[in-house]
Amino acid sequence: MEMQEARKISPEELEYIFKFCKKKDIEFVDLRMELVDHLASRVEAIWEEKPELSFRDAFHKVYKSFGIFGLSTLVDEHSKLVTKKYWRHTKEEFKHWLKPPQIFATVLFMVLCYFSLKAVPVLSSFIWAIIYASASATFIYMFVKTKSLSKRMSGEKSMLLASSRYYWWFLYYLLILPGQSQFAADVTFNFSPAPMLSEGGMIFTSMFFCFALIFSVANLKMLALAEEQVGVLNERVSFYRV
Amino acid sequence: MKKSYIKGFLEDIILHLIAQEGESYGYALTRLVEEKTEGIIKLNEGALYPVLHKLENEGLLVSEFKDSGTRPRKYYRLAAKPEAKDRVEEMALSAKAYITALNGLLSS
Repeated sequence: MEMQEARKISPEELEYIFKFCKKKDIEFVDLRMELVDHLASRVEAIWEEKPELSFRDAFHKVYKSFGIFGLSTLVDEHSKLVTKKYWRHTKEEFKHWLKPPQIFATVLFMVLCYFSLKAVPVLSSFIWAIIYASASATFIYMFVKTKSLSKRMSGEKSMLLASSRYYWWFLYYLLILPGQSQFAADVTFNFSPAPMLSEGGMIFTSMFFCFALIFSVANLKMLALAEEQVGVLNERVSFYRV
Repeated sequence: MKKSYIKGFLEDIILHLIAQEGESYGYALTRLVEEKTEGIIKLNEGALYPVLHKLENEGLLVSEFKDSGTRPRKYYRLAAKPEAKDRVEEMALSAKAYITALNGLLSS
């Protein structure tokens, strides 16, 4: 007797699940693709036992097993994960620069910055001007680049791209935080040749300059990783467009 | 079995299975857990995927989309760094110690 081949999900049915997940707020395309494969595998497992069941009935059976919250638990958990991913990536960059041998370069940079400030106090205004200018440039670049990557993905976003969109924290840390520090009076622009920075202000400025650069590198690296993923994800997503 | 029993072990269970299989994907992991525990432990999607992505985020797992014939499938494997291997070994030891301790408690 000829063995009947196991029933498989058709491209149209896959597209239906893909669109269904999108409607259920699974916004990250990589997570959505993973989930589509999972749901499709479960439908196929049901067909192994009941091949006569229609796709809609089998799919309904699978979705019902998710309980009253449906996919919302998954959506909530991943929103938290995306934020954590951003901070983890930033933390890793800081860890990289704060462990040997890179720490020697980091400390050297801060020390040079500190002694330059001590020798030429007016430099503080230039340093802060560089911090503000590079922060603004990075912010604008991140904004434009994330928009263009999202456009390249037809408005979709991956978890990594969503994480890199947290760059607005960057703006907070680089532009607002200094103003809230106790050295606020020190760090305002003042081109007077008289010494402006207290000892604390000089240490703060040197450290902040260094950390601002690391923060900036972390953001740009994350965006580069998200860009690397775009081609692969686009190719995979085409499976779901019949 | 109560879901809360499993929650604390979920990361370890997943890491252990992936280490054992070499590479695996979400649905296969749920089937594997059910088969190996004879249906006593069931993983649901709401718990499984956040843990997989958390472990990937922590650098303990690496993933790759591959074609499974009809659709793309995301496969996970243990990261090639000592921390990942150490975590699996450490987890096996702690789980065994925990089960022995629990057995001691329940049989007394």
